[in-house]
Amino acid sequence: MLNWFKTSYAQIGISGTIYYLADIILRKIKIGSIYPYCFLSQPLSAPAKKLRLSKNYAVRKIQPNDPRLLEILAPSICDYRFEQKAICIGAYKEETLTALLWFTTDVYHEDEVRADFIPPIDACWDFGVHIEPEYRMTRAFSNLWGASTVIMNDMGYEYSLSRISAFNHISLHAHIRMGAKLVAKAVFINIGPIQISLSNTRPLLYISFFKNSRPIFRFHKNDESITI
Amino acid sequence: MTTINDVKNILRDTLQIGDRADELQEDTPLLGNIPELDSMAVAMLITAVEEHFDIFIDDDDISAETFETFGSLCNFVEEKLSE
Repeated sequence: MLNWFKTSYAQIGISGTIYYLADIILRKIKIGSIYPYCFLSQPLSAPAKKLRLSKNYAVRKIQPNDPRLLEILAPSICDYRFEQKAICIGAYKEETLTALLWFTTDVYHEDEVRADFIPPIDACWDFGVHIEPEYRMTRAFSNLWGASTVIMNDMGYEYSLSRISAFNHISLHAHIRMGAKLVAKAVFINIGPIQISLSNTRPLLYISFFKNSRPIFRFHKNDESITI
Repeated sequence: MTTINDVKNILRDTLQIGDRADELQEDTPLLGNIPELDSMAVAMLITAVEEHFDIFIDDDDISAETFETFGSLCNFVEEKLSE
């Protein structure tokens, strides 16, 4: 137990460890859950400079009716995302869809908790990264991200925001290695039908009693970097 | 020996694993053992290896087996150097 605590503390800090323990307990007794999020801002030009893109991959927007997309994601998920006017971009190798990710350019309706995230006008929101298992140790994702940044850049977006679970310290550090900066944190505590969100950005506290009651987080161009 | 040390240093710098790089042995697993080695890190690692050794690595040359252990990665680099 002590070793677990030490490891957890080293990886996700004291608050992350407390949330993690509370989440385990809430799920065990089946009354709720906790989702601590880190919000990251990623320049759309940063990683492409460090990577050699391969000509073997063709990266392009995926059409909603592409059968290869529907083999990877359930139609209901695709419909929900396309209804948000999300853009899906895929990396194809010899017409095999190897990896994909999604961007919204307006509001992102979070589907894990009740919340909406609005990026600044010159930013988009990325989510839903998927890499087919056999392509995870290849250049598929780097090609996808590198070319996607060009597509989004050409559309006028300078950076992309995303949210990552604070429990996922590996992904968090991977984003920071790619040049992302942490701009905000929030924790969503669900107990029964009630959701309490606490954040260091507005709204600082929001208590939601109903499905349609969602805090709206607006991000700004000059949001300062904060420490993990 | 130089290749092994160079690959170790590339892993240290690319994955930012610090002193953990010093503990890498030929049979040390990379996949599943170094959490920093994710899909983007693989691409950064390949690019760093290409630049450092001045070699070209084709997409079809690499697979999960390449990154199975530290030894398999070093062997892969030495094979590319001998081509």
